[in-house]
This record gives sequence, structure tokens and C-alpha cells, in this order.
Amino acid sequence: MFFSIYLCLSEEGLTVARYEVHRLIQNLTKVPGLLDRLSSEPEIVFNEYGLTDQEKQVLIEASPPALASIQIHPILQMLYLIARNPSMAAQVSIRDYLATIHKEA
Amino acid sequence: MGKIVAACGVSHILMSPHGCEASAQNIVDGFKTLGERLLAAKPDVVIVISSDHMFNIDLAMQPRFVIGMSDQYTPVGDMDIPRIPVAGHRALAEAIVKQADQDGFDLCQAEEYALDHGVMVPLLFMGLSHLPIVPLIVNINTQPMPSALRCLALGETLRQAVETSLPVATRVAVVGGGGLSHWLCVPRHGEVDEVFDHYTMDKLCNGEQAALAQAGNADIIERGGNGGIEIVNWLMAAQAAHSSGGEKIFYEPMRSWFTGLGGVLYHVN
Repeated sequence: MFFSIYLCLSEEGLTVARYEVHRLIQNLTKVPGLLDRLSSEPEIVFNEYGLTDQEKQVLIEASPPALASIQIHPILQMLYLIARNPSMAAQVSIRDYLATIHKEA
Repeated sequence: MGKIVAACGVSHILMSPHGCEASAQNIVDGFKTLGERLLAAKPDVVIVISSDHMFNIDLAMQPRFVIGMSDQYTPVGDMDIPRIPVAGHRALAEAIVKQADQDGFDLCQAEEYALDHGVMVPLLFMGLSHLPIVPLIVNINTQPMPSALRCLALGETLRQAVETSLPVATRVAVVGGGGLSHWLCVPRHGEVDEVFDHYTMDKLCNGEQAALAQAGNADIIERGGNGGIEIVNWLMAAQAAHSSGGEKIFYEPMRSWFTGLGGVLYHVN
């Protein structure tokens, strides 16, 4: 199991991480080149989004406990983990079924 | 008048089959059977009710409900889903928007909407991607999310729109996608609650979607997880179909995929 520790929602289900962090993560699937830049020049990207040192460290570590520690939205945690972890991306994928789909289509 | 001719509730994800080949095959077969049963009703168009996984509806803009108005949609491509465009059905979308306005729902109309796995997995694995669609998205990403009762009411609106605003020949299928139980990146992450999953499907097989909705979102989330709340999409589809019950087509508790998966074919009335 990839995950082990989670705690990121208040009782009301409201996320509490700063929007700056959420904005960066949600833009990874929307802004062309951002994911590549996050890998090649993370400090510049982090500063563009106004992240604190703690937030930068969390995103560099990119582990479930780290992401949960600053209460990042659950879906954005998943998107970030998939974006930063090739084995996670391979698990959350339909690539093994594509031949079947194409054959039946 | 158009007519709702088929409807179902179904999970909307698949993951790697490695290490769980038999269960994964059961799920693939279940999707296929469910799709064949829907297609037997010869639908002309499919309304796909789903959540959005923050590819479109994120924290920047948080509408409660979004409906696709376009003539064509391109998938996001998440989960390695092919980015092959899917046709839209503008006339049905417009009919729904008008009916919704009369019924007190302010649907957010989207001329652009990138289909994520929530819509694409049912379409692809049920063999429905050749049909035009209307995506209807329920925002469960942020609080306050639409209540289960509100989703039930919107299901009734869908039915009224189909029956009062479309040509006689239009045959409509409704797919409610998501669930079953899963806890995503919260305490209990990775758990599957088979009791909740079977309870939910059994209730729907008995035509008791109203009872499920009456229990409320908090109860659903407590028992089925923050991802299990996606069953409100199943409830909306059941209500649109005036379902009197249904048939459990498949179920697998997929702990390695962090979720229970199933499908129920509704008895349309």
C-alpha cells in the first residue's frame, strides 16, 4: 500500500492549507511546462507562487504524511503524488487495458 | 417528448491489474455487461453524472453543478486515457439548463469541459464512447457540497427536461458514476467498507434511492468515505429513471485500488 498516514480535513471537511500551495498543485495539470519546471527549477517556481519555506519542504519531500501535515486538499494530494511519483502514476492508470478497449472498439 | 430508456450507477475508475488480475477482469467484464445492457435499450444520447477530480473544477472556481453544453469534448488524458474526442449533445444540454432554471437550479454552463476519468472510464469500458453525451458534474470537492436530496431533485429535473423538451425519437441513457466506498487521503485511506457498498447497492436494487438520500451527506461520508459521497451521482441517475429497483451487475472490494467498485442496472419506469 502506497499510503499509510493521513490527516488533512477538519471535521467540517474544509481544507486549510494556504491557497498558494493549492494553486500551484492544481496548475500542474493546466499550465503547460509547469510540471517540468517544478523538476528543473523548483525554487523559482515555489517563489513565483509565494510559498513559505515549510511549504517548499513539504512539496520537495512529496510524501503522503508531508502533504497531509499542511492539510492539502485530498484530491490535490493525489494529483501531486501522481505527478511526482512514477510508480504511483503507473498504478493509477488504465494503460494495461488499452489494447482491449481498442480491440473491442 | 424524449424518453429515458436506460440508467445505471457504476464506479468510474480502474487501476493497474498487476497483482489482482482476476478481480480486475471481473470489473472489466462487469463494465462491459452493464454497457451491453444499456445499449440494448438503443439510446441516442447518454447523460453522464460524475464528480470532477480538480481538472476543471478546482479551488479557483467552485460551482455546485456544471453541465457541458458543447458539441464535442476532449478528455484530459489522466490515467493514460486516450485523448480521443467525444461528441456532445447540445440540444439535450440546453433542455436540461432551461428545466433546471425553472426548478431553481443554477447550473454552471460549460462550453469547454475536459473529461477526466470520472466520465471517460464508464464511457470507454461500457462501450458508450461512440454516443453523444451530456456531462453533468456534481462538485463534491468543497464544502458545502450539494446534498443527496438536492441531487435527487436534480435527477427529477433531468427527467422533466428529457420528457418535455426533446423530440419524440430521442432515447436517453443516464449513467451515475463514482464510488463505492473509499477514503482518499484522509484517515482510513485505502479502506473499503463492503457493508456500506452492499447496503447501498441493495437499497438501489430495491428502488430505495430516496431513503439513501434522506440519510444525508454526513452519514454517507461517515460510512462510505469522502470518496463514497460520489454515490449521490448514482442516486441522481436512479431518480431520473424513476427507478423501481435494479440488478447488481458486479462488485469487487479492491483494496489495492483503495476503493470498492460496483455497478447496478436500474429498472426504468
